[in-house]
This record gives sequence, structure tokens and C-alpha cells, in this order.
Amino acid sequence: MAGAGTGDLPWGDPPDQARYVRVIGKPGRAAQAPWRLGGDLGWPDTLLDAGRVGALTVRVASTRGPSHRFYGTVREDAAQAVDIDGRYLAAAVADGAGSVTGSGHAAQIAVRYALHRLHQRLGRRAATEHGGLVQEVQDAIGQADQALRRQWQGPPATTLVVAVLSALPDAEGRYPFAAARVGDSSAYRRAGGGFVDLLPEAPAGEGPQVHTTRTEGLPSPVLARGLPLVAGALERDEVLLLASDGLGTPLRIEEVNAEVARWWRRPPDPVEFLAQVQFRRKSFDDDRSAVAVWTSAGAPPPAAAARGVAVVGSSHLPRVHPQARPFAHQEPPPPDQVLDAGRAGDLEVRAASVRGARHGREALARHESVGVIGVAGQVVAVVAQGTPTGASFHAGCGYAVRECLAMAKAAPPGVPAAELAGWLAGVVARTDERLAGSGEVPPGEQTALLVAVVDSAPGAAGGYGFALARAGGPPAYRLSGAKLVPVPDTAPPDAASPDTAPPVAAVARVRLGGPRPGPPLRVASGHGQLAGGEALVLASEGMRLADPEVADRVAAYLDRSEPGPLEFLDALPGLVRDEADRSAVVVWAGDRAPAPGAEAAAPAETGTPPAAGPPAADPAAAGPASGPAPGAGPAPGGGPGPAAGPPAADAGGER
Amino acid sequence: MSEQVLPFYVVCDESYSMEPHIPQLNQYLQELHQAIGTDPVVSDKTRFCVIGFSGTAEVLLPLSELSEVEEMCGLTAKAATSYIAAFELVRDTIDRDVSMLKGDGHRVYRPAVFFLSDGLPTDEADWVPSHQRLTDRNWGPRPNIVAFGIGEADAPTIQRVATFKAFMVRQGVSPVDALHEFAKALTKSIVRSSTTLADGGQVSLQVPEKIEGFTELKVDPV
Repeated sequence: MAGAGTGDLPWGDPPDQARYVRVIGKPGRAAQAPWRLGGDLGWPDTLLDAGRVGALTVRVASTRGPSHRFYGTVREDAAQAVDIDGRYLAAAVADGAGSVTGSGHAAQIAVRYALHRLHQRLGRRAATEHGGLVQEVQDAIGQADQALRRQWQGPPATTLVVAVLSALPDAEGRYPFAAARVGDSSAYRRAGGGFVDLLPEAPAGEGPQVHTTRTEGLPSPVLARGLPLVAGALERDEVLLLASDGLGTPLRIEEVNAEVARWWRRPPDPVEFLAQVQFRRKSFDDDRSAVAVWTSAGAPPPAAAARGVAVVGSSHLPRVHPQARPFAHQEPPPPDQVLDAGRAGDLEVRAASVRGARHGREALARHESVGVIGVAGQVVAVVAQGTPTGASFHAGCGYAVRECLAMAKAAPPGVPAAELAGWLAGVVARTDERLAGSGEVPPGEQTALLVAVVDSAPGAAGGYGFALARAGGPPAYRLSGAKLVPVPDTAPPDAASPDTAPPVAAVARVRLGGPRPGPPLRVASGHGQLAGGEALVLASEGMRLADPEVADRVAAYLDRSEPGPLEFLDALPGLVRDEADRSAVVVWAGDRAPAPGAEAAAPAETGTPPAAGPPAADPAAAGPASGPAPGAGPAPGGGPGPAAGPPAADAGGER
Repeated sequence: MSEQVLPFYVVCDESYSMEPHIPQLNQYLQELHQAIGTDPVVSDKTRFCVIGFSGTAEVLLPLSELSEVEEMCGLTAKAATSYIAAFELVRDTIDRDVSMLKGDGHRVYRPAVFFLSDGLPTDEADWVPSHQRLTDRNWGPRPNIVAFGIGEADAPTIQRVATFKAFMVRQGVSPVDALHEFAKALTKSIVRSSTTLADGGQVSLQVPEKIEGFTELKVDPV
């Protein structure tokens, strides 16, 4: 039958690799169908977070379900956990209603404001003594409700479950917690080999919860009078779980519940956690989000420590960065890892951004960001990286990616990508202006930005046209014949300046941001054609593609693998033995097109990148030890480059 | 509750008056098969059954997952139009299907019946009790019925058959166009209902607000 509209190269995570694909019962067809890129700016397919707060170990995942992946629509769930001064962990999960357009945005607002409120109330600098955890959780939901009334104004659009836990044990060695919910996202506790719903839909009278007015979503006119809520204390080695109904509904099935409870007896490593959250089961195709919290983790799981994968907030690191910024800044701190993937026309796309070990250790957030969307006939991809400022996170790169995508989405219709280079350079310049005018990005922050537009169908000559623009940061690369070749700038940023000389800061700004008024921004641009089978690679400096050895390793991996989404996310850290954040977008052109001698990227024009970053710095502290991934199955991401076997070519697609 | 299942029953008039249009209708059913069968999200969650009726009624396609159906069934014209035969078979079939699905541990949502007729029932006087049995509030799996009248069908009758929505073809609309719109509405309904299912377990039958060439009739609450 073959999914409609699939071309030659839909590839997914290999079903035989338990590290990436879990199945409970029949997998169903939807979960095996190729993913499509979303056309919405919203946020990526998947976010993944992991870390420790006090004696708690935390995993957070929020993913599109098979339905949204198949239709190329956006994730409507949101999930986040924050560290409140090492004393509390606050967590929230929200699920935007499918029937309300843009509800994913409402879900994000709900999560962010609830957690912000808890941080205000329970943080060390709180103005007043806080009340009981139950009241605080209720109050946080009330704040989320009010924020939605101000910012949303539509019909009830999102569920919300909020929990707060003491991060340190009390005198009896227990961890007090409270949770409350609106709608069908709920809180669960692992007990007796299964997860038990702490806030069930049951009539009042049983258990500790109060249950009066039913409210299914926020904003809600009848919130004040009471919510399902629970207070209690976890013992050592217990698990508290918040889940959207995408996970909660199948958890009502005994077989599923028992299996998940077995998986989560101990904290799995992040990628494994992600694979488990999105286990396949026929007909359960909703988005899924989970925040799982383990009390007193004991020894860190060996998997996380020993894997070469650069420790992305693994459990032995203090992580879950504090909510350090005032909430006037709309940009929430980014999660450890984001992943986007899917197909658009003949293109297969992978995008991921992963926090490196150094930031993990210092409890700083990722300073990079990626974004990718499919729009009419084209794919737009962005990589941004912020220069460190000492702040816990970098607001500019996330903001820049969103703004840049929003503008690039409005590309003049029907124009081949290769003709958009100049226009794209304008987008980068305007992104810079918006950043400066946003009030959300501190002037000290600087951001390098690289954006590409690629045609998702071959042009007359058989090639897939693309255009690039960038300010600061490394150039884009073309993957061709297992080699990565920088794509030259065809329009040098400033014809007068000698491109080989390092840019003079006084003359032009190399990156976005910085104090205003300032010198003009140097934007370089380029264009070209990808032949079928080639790929365009956009990478952050952390990928260190300027280092020939690294570039060869990455090229070899990308050339011989057709990595599924999770596999790609998993491989990214291992490809560079370094502690920096790293981000990459890879856009493969389908080889359906014969691509007869597609005279590829204008080789004549030379020109060095205007502002190549510091060339391959020291190989840093050599990262964590490499070695085979213990635990669940083979792990190609580990160790010396990708040890991945040859790819299971037809892996993910139905056929 | 192993899987979530949303069953659809298409109940089609096969009386002789339908004869000239049956090849078209069969074609539309094949298109529906193609559309639903190749959509993995929809086919994972829905089941589809075709029942034809004339003087008697017959299950032409037993309740199936369309992605696993190799060839779509076809209708053939026969004598008479027995609503009794239709309603009785629909009730028996639903009863059996639902208990089987439940026996397999599935969570079964309320079945939907799309009923299409082009004339008055030949058992005009006495079909009501069999309809009452099909719509009995005390019978758990009672379906939501969406009724369509074309050709010589009679609006009040179509109205009484429906429990959810009723549509009557407009004057001057060709039977082929009407059947096409019927099939399109059915496909949309299956797709939309099953995608709603993804949104939170509370499924509600989705039927397009407007169907080209048809007028919606008021349905009296049962």
C-alpha cells in the first residue's frame, strides 16, 4: 500500500533497534509511516531534557504522535521541568486541544506561567513565606489561567497538570509533593509495579483529592472552585510521572502500564527515555509528553556515564537549569535536546541541537538552536548559535531561529530557491533588526545565524536548488561522495573588504545582536544545486566541520547511514569528541531525479567565509569515555564516531 | 482496551431503481477504500462494513480494516426495498462485531451508520419496530445513524431513520452527483472522526456541516 506521497527515501528508525523503537502490542501502520515536516513555526517535533535537582533525577520528553507526524502538523503538547534553587523541582505538562487552532501555543503559555509562578513563590528570593505545596500548585494553575486570558482569549485550549516536589528528603527521608490538574493530563505514581493515576476522574470521596467543578481546559471561567489535586510524599526510589493523555490513555491498559513501569524502575538515559515515551501501539497516535522524576537516584545509571554520547545532561550532572530570567522574556530556557525530522517533497530532513557536556556541568542551557519547516515546495532550515555571555541561557538564538523562520516562510511564492540568496540575506538582516527591537534579547548577546532554503522538487536541470545566507559562524557544507565541501559564498558580504583577512569588528558586525546603534551587519549569501543523493549540511561551530578529521568522520557517517530521527539525535554528540553544544541540520535530496550532470554549486566563485569562527580550537577535554552503550541494544551514537552498522535501508517506511 | 476502534457501517439500498447508478456507487466505494486504506492514521483506528439491502439484506464487506482489504465489495441491484431486513441485519451485525471487538480487549467507540436509500420502503407500514430495536437506548452499541435520501426517497422517512443527521437530495441534482457527494461526505466523516479520536479519547462523530447537493433535515431527538 505504501504511504501516499512517499518517494524514494523515506527512512525511519530501524524497528529492530530497541534503543530507538519500542513496541507494545501491535505497532500499527501510523507509527511506522514516514514523518512529514511540520509547516508551522511552533516548535520542533521533539524536545528532550534530563538532569538532576537535589536528590531527584528528571527526564522530560514531549513529542509529536504518529498522527501529527504523518500529516505534517505541529505538536500540541508542551512539557517542562525547572529547578527552583536546588530546593524544589517544579514540572508541568499541557496538551493543546486538537480542535482549537494554535492550541500548542496555549499549552506553552500554560506551562511557562505555571512554572514561573512556582519559581517566584518557592524560590529563595520569594518575597513572602510560601504556603503549602498544594496551595502553591493550585495558585500556579490559576496564574497560568490568567496568563492565558491575557494572551490567548480564545476558547479553552489546553489541559495542564502541575507538580512540585521537594528536591531534598525531609527528616523521615521522604519527598513531599503536590500536584493538580485541569483536563485529562494527569499525575501518576509508580507503585506495586505499575503507574497509578493520582488524580483520577473518579467521584470525590476516595483518596485525598477534592473534586468539585469539572474543568476540561484553560482558560476556564470556573477554575476558582477547586481542581483535582493531591498532596503526599514519595519514598526513596519512587517515581512521579506527569503525562499528557497521549501517554495517559494507553497507560490505562494493564499491559502498557506494566511495561512502562518496568522500563522506568530506574532512570533510563535520555534517548532511551524518548524511545520509550513514544512506544508504538496501534491506534494510539496522539502527541505524548512526560515528565518523570525519580527520588534518590542512587548510583547514576551506567548507561549514561559510559556512553560516548557527550553526556547531554545525563543523570550524574546537576542540570535542569534554574529559571534564572525574569519572565518578561518570552523565550523559555531551551531543553537539552531538540529534534526535528521528516520528509518534504523529495527531501529527507534531520535537525537536532544538543547541549554539550560543558554547559551541562555548569548548569548552563544550550546556547544553540535549530529550526526547520516545510513550506510550499521548499524547506527552510536555520542554525543559530549564541556567544557565551555568562548568563544561564542565551535568549537570542532561539528568538532568531523563530523570527528567521517566520520571515523565510513568507518567501516569494514560486521563485526557485537558487534565486532567493539575496532575499535570504535580507531576511538575516531583518532578523537582526527584530532581535534588537524585541526587548527580549540582552544587548550583550551575539548570535551567528545560517539559513537555507532548498527546493523540495528537482528543477528543470534535475538538481535541487538552494540558497544560503549567514552572518557569523561556519559556512554550509555540501555532502557529496562521502566528502563535506564548504559551499562558497557567491555574494561576498562586502566586496571591498579582503575576504581573506579577518573581519575588523569596528567596520562591520559579524554576528546578530550587540549594542545599538552599531555598524552594519555583514551577511554573506550563496546558492547552488544539490544533485540527487547529495545533502546540504548546516552545522554549528560545535560540530567543528572546519577540522578535516571531524568533517571526514561526519561525512562518512552521513554518507553511509540513512539515520532515523532518534538515531540521528543519538549520533550527533558522538561524532565530535568535544564538550561544546552542537547542532546540525541535514537535508538530503532524493535520488529519484536523474540529476543529469546537474552542474552543481558554482565552483568558480571562491570566497572565504566572512567570519569563520575560531578554527578548530583545542580538542577540549576529550569528552567522556567512549565505549559500547550498555543497556538497551546497540547504540551507534556511542564511541569513536558512528559505529552504526550499515543502515537498514528501508527501515522505517512501510515499504 | 487494546486498541481504540471506531466502526463505520454503510447501509446501501440495492433495489432495482438504483440499478443505473450502481456502477458509479461501486466506483466511489473503491475510491473511499483507496483514500482510507492508504491513510495509516485513519485505517489504524477505523473499521468499515458494507451492508446492501433490497428484499433481503446482506453483509457485503464484513467489518474490516480498510488497509487490509484487498478488493472492495460491489453492490448489485435486486428486487424490493426492505427496511426491516436492513435494520435487523445492521443490529445483529453490530451486536456481533462489537462483542467480538470487546472480547479482543479493544475500546470500541459508538458505531456510525451511514444509511442511503433511493425510495420508499416496500415494508412501509411495519419497519418502525425494527428501527426501534436498532436505536434502543438500552442497547449499549446503538449506532449514530446518518441517513441520506436520493431519488424517490421520502424526506419524512429519511428523517425518522436518522438519529444523528439526515440529508435529502435537492431537486435537479443528478443521482451520480448525489452519490459522489455521499461518498465524499462519508470519507470526510471517517477521517475527521478518527482524527478527533487522537485528540483525547472523547470521540464524537464528525459529519460535514454542508454536503453539496443535499439539504439537511432536522432530526428529532429520539
